[in-house]
Amino acid sequence: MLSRIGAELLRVVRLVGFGAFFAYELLVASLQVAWDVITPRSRLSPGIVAISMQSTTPAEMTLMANLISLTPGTLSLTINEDQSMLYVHGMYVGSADEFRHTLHVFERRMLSAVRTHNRPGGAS
Amino acid sequence: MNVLDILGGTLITVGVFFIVMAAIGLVRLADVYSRLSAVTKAATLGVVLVLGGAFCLEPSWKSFFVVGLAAFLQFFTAPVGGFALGRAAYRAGSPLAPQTQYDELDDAIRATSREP
Repeated sequence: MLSRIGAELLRVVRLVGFGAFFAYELLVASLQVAWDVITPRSRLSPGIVAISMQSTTPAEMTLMANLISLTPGTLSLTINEDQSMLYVHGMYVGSADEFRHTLHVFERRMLSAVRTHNRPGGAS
Repeated sequence: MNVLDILGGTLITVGVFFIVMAAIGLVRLADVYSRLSAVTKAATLGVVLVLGGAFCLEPSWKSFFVVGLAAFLQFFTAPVGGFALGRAAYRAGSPLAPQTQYDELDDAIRATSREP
């Protein structure tokens, strides 16, 4: 019983932590886009990158696609037919592999914040 | 002037700044996708900051719920709208900016020769 309360508490802490992390990312990305918009020289290096998703349920995929779209500079475009790849348009891609890596790290953080491994029955 | 007034005014000013940036971005950026990025995101952040500022100026449970609902709806509808428009633009063949370096979606479509 106590360990369950502890696990739930830990989950809430992780969710709040992820919320704070995302708010920070949102602010940084907004300032980056704002800076690019007001300065005359554009540092735009856009691209569309395919990202293999670790999310498995529709809810996780929706959350992932929406959080990417919410972050300035990145926009989810579509998902392939077997729902394994997400196609993301980025305004400042630089290297495609670097961009992929950033989003993979982001997805891992998101999944560890929302997944409920400790629930009996494993239902999420 | 108390602390809440100052905080509210600051939040609204910063929010308006982001909305103005979104408007300038809509005109200045290179292609449909970047412009969508500017409008859906910067404007979302701006609107939510303005809402937060409005709450600080009129703090009550009623405005807490109204502002909370408006911010929630903004956060959940803006990315869906951006996604739908971006997807529609891509399917309609809207050109990417000349600086675009990768289009792995195009590669995937060519590989399967089917619509995404």
